[in-house]
Amino acid sequence: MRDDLSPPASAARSRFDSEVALAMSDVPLPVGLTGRLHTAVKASPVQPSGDATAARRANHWPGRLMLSGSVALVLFAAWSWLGPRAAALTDADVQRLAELDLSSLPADPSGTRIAIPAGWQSLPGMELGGQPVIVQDDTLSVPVRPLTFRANRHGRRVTGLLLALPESRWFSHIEATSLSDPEVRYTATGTWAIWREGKTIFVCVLRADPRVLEALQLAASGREVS
Amino acid sequence: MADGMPLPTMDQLIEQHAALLYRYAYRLTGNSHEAEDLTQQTYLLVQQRGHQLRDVQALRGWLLTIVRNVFLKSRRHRGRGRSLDDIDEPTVAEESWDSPVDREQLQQALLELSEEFRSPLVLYYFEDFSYQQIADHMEVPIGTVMSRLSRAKTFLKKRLTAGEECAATPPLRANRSKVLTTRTALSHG
Repeated sequence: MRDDLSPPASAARSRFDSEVALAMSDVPLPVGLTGRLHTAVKASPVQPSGDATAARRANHWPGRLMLSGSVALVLFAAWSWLGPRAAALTDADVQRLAELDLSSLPADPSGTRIAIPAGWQSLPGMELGGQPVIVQDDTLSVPVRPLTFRANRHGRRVTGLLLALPESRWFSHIEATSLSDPEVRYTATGTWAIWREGKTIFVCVLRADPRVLEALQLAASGREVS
Repeated sequence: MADGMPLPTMDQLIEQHAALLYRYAYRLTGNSHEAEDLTQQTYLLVQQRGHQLRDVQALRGWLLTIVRNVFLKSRRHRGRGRSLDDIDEPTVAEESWDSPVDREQLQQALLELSEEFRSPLVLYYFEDFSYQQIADHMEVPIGTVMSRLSRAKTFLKKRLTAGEECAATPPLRANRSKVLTTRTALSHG
């Protein structure tokens, strides 16, 4: 075992170490990666970190101390009043929800009704689970409505979930105001659409490729799905 | 040091570090789509919380910590992979190694390890992190890092040796270290 604390990139490194190091960094980058990252960052209306630096410099420490104390008090009061349920959800939380087997989760004991998007009561192909289930662990507590969607009579039935959150429970501001033009996330487990209706943020996760989301958008807009 | 240096803009962060974050994410997940998703989520969090970084010189480690925390959070409900806590540390010097490492075999071996062994291994080889840096990154004592690295390297070497089917398969360990509960990079002041 090495007993020095220095970086391993030294002449003493064994042949095995060198070969593994070479192989470890040999990961091809996807074409267009940085372009997509720039697009995602620009689409997210949060203050860039460079601006944050300038703001940080402008603060003097006594003011920061007072501000920190005030923020801590407000956070403590909010935590005392609302507990962990008030935590805002992030993309990572939705990713985690998307990977859960919702059928194994208990129904929400509070009986809270989850709002549904406008027009979804009679949306062709959409079946919303009647009773929301509750996803709860040490950091998260959120009611989720399972759903299934079939684009047309011959199409495959895909599963998914619907979240309806007060805007304070989503980590960033959402500009999109309808399912026809939502913010979209593409992941290995499926496709999500995020949009707002009034003060409610809807997150619809479909465990399917983006074409199914497009079919849902068509259905929601009242157009025929072939 | 830190307060005198401006933070890079988001554009600069992407241009300078996207490849590093993606490669680290790929080694953690073994999947290009998940790796890109992890990288994107990391940048969105950085954009939201970049002002929390106090030491610009620690930027690279801070970014990698966010990647790891997002990864851990996404995997909380999945299987753990193999822990090596019961395998003996090597007692003899490393013998010679004269063949190139198969890339696919390497990734497969990494994915067989539990995250607490996989991350230090990736950081050690891929990013030339010192033991202390890895310990800081994983929030564990340096002795733990050295022990895990030693065991992980032993496992890796056996796994990559042609014809050897990892006969000394280490048993799974049931208890979980505190690794899964570390989310500090997302909330550091």
